[in-house]
Amino acid sequence: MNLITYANSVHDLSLIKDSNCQEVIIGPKDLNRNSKLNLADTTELLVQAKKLGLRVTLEWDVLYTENQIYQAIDIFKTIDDSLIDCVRVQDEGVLEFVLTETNFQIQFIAETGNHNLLGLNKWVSYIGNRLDRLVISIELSKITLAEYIDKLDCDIEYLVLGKILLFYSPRKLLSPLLDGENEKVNYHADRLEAIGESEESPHKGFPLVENGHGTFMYHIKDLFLLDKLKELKELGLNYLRVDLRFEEDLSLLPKIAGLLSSTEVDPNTDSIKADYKNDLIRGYYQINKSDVLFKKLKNYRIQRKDSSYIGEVIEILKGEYLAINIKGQASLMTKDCSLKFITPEGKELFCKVHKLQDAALNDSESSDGHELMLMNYMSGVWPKSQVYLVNPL
Amino acid sequence: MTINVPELLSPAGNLDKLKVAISYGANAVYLGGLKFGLRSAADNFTDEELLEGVTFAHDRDAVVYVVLNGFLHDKDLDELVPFIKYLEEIAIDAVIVSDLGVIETIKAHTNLEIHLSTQASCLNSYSAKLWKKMGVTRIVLGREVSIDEAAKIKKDADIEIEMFVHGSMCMAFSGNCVISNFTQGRDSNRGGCAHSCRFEYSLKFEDMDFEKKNHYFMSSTDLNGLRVLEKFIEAGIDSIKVEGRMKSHLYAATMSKVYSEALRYYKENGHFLSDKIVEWESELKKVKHRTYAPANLVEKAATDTIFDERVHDKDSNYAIVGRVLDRANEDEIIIEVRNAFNIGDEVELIPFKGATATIKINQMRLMNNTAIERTNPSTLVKIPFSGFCEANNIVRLKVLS
Repeated sequence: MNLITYANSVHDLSLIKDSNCQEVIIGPKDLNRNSKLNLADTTELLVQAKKLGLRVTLEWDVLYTENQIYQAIDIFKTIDDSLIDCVRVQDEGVLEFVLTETNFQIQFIAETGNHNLLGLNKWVSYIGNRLDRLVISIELSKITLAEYIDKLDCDIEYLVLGKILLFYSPRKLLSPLLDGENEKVNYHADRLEAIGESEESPHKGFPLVENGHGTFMYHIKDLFLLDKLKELKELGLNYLRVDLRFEEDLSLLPKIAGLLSSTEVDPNTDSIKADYKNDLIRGYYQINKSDVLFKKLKNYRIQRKDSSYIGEVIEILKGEYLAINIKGQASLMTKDCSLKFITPEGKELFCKVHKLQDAALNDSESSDGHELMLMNYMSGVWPKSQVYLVNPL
Repeated sequence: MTINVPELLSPAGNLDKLKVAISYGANAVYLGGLKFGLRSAADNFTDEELLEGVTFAHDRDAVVYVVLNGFLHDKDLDELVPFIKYLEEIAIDAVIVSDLGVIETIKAHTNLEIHLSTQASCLNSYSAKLWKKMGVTRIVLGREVSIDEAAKIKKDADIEIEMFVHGSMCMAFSGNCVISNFTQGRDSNRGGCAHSCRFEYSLKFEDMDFEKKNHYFMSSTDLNGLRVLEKFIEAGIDSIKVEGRMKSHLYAATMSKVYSEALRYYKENGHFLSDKIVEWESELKKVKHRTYAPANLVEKAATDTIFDERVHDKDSNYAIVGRVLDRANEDEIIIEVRNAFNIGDEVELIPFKGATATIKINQMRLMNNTAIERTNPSTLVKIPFSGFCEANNIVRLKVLS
């Protein structure tokens, strides 16, 4: 199991090397969502990383519209090929460019969606022997992760420590709030940071960043799975990513690397947690139940269900009539037929039709050809009740 | 010379809205089944309603696209197979998909045509070429793409292009927002979006010791592409899409009518040099909306596309009062009431084509002929009207803002 992280300075590279990492992620701010490095600094870092014998992954993870991608390609082409071992991408257009117009190995960021094996397998086969690894979603639980590690024919990387990205917009959303403010507010900065909170959200303190690529919002707590290293190792995970770009430096990295090399059965992570400045969570690692609330979002009782469907009660005049909007095509409502009503509360009521009128209040034998029918009143039926034909009583 | 105009693709949140949208001029609708889409809270369509909707649409030369655009998990894919086979059996015209696993499942089990959802955030021609190789025949571009860029993508990737022309906008790149997943436990990419971007936030800029309270800084204005419709046509965009499966019958009717009339006008005249555009614009403002903007259609969305307000109907002063269900007799129509109205009100009946008819309400009766002064929602009322009207015509009322 290999540890991988980001470098923003030569000092970072030394710590990475000293922590026995074999690989480093570097990206210029023109191509990378989070980097603060200009192209010259990036090149310098790439050179130093190579000198230290590190494998270098260039992270190119911005999403681009048509005009922007060509500008980005031009920037990418200015970087010396020989300094890069691998390119890490998320935009499928960038993937296609790197795949068809360069010879680099590719790390594909499949962290957004990509929650099924079939889709991931297709990415593996599409990228073919150019695929270095898949970076997969932290929304996948450990059971799913285990299955994918077992079944995908490629190396897998999974975030184990760092910020959880919640929102990525290409628009600048923070600087407009500073317009017209006094001089102490430096709204011309190329990077703004803020903390957001809403009384409408159960969580407070969302970190926000605005830079040249737009606005990013992160979870109030950072992902922490370092206490699961033994489990992840047993699953056969190839790469653990640690993202310390929002920490002051990489000083925690040697301790984290120490966990990996520890011979203890369950190495203690308390000192890392104590030194880490943010609150921590495990996210969806144990289980992902993010679809269980869906059934509460609407009333399934008022959905039509079968071919005996007649329609929906749209008005009731107590003691006088039920007005039914005829919707079903397969069944006819006729005088003397028997009906079942399913109310919005789920109650089932049965009734025989002994009075049937059309919209003009003419007595009628059948609902054939009508949008609206009136029938005898039935107690307990409410508007939006669904009406079904049943066999004669 | 025949002028080609894009298909008008309207939202159909349920079967009634499908009928409304098509009757008012949409030549395509998109809708969701009970699962696999991004609108779990919408009514959506049961299998029986899907069949009825497809029949209704095809009888009127309209097409039906079914959204399967959630980022599905493995267990969802197992349930998907019988559903897509059913969709093929009832001859829907295409499915709208964002997940590669879903695309693979559809290709393995059906011959359904596949459109790539905007949820996949396809934004450039390289990406379009990739998705074309994956088997999609049309791409619904991300809303960050301009019309000029779309024209280039269409040319370079040689694929059908669909673009949003109207409606609410995600502030994030579609598919790249998981706020609901991690704060509400609801997967926004499987239909559980809690619209956290519309919340009011306070922001602290700690580096600057500065605080800004009570702002809707993540909320986007609404898209309105009416004024740049000619650009869509010139760019050869194949389909223009209206957002809003969760929105009202009035919205479905107004959008379908205005945009279909505009497209028809261009097809007949080859230009928009007409006072009609002011009329259409005025109609679009009559439905509930946030401030309108062309967003990214011409230039990159700027700071004026942030909708820093909660209320979003302050300049839309019309409300739906109901829809025509049937005719009671030659002189009276029956309305299914959605919002109350009174004797003395002037309501407007919106026909499927042509000018609205104003009806002064001087009498109203319940179905049992009892005279009433005021209606109640979820009731039926008979009002005098001897002009031409059809079932599903929408009736609206000017209200005070």
